[in-house]
Amino acid sequence: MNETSNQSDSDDRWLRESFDRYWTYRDKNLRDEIAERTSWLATRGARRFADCGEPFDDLVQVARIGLLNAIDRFDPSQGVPFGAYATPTIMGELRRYFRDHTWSVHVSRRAKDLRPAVNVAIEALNNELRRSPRMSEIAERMKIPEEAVIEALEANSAYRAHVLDQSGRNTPSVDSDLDTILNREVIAGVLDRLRPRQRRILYLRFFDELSQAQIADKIGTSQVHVGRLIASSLAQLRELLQEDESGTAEG
Amino acid sequence: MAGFSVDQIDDIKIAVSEVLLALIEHGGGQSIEVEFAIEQRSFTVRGHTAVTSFDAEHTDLLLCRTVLAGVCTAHGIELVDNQAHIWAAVAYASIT
Repeated sequence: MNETSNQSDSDDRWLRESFDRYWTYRDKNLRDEIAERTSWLATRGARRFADCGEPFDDLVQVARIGLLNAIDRFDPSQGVPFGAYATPTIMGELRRYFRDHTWSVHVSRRAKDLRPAVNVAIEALNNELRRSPRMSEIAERMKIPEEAVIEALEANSAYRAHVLDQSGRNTPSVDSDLDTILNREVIAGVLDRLRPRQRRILYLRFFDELSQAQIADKIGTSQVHVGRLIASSLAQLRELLQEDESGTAEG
Repeated sequence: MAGFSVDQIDDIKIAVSEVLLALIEHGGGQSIEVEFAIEQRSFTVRGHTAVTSFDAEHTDLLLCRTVLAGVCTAHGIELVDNQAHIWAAVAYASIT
C-alpha cells in the first residue's frame, strides 16, 4: 500500500468517525471542519458550470451551501459514501441558483442586441453559400468582431431558456427543458476541445437538433458517415470528460 | 424496423448505445437487464443494474442526458432501491 492510499484511508476513516459524532452531537465546529475537508466536492460541482458565464467564486459559494445542507442531512448509518450523497444535493443547489437568479447563462447587453441581427445574417449567408457560414464570414458581413458573433450565438440558447421561463408554465417539463439547457452548457465547455469538424457535427446534432440527414446535407457528406462521426466524437468527448473527472478527484 | 425512418433508426442506435454504456460505466459490475419494446408508437429501451454508489450528476451522465435529449422523445435516469434504471424512447408518431 503506498503513501497516497494510506492518506486516503486515513481521510475516509476520519470522515466516517466525524459524521458519526456530528450525527449524534451536532457540533457546529465539527461541521465546519467536515465542510473544509470535503470542500473539493463543492469546487468540483461549481466547475461543471464554470463556462455558464457566472463568476466562479459565486458558484463555489452556492455549491458550499449545498455541501452544508448535505452534511446536515447525511445519515452515516445508511452506509452510502458521503460523496455520492452530497453530489446531487450540491448540483441541485447550483441548478436552483441558475433557475432563480440567472435562468441559465449571463448574457451581455451587446449579445442580446446583436442576437436577432446575427440570426438574420446567418440565414442570409446560409442561402447565399448553401452551407453554414463560418464565424469569420458572419463577422465580416456584420462588420463586427468574431468574439461578438460568438457571444450572440451563445445568447441564442440563453434566449430559448428565457422564453421557456417567461411562458409561465410551472410544470416539470420546464424544469426538464432548463435541465437540458444546463446540461448542454456543461457539455459545451468540453466541446471546445474537440476538433472543429467533430465539434460542429455534435453542435448541429444535439444543440441545433438537426437530423443526421440534415447534417449530411449541410456538410456535404453521407448520412452513414455523419452517424460514424457522431459516434466517434461522442466517444472522444466521453474520454475527455473522464480525464477531467479523474483529474478533479486526484486534485 | 417498419415505421421508422433511417434517421430514427440511427437515433435508436445512439439511444441503445448510450443506455448500455451508462449502465456499464456506472453500474456495479453485476449483470445488466435490458428490455426492448415497441409500445405506444415508440421504441423503448430500458435497462437496470445494481449499483453500490451512483452519482446521477456525474458529468458523463450529463452527456448521456444531453445525447438522449437530442435523439429521444423521452428518457430517464434514476436510482431505485440500489438499482440504476435508465430508459429511452424514440417515437415514430410523426412519421407520415
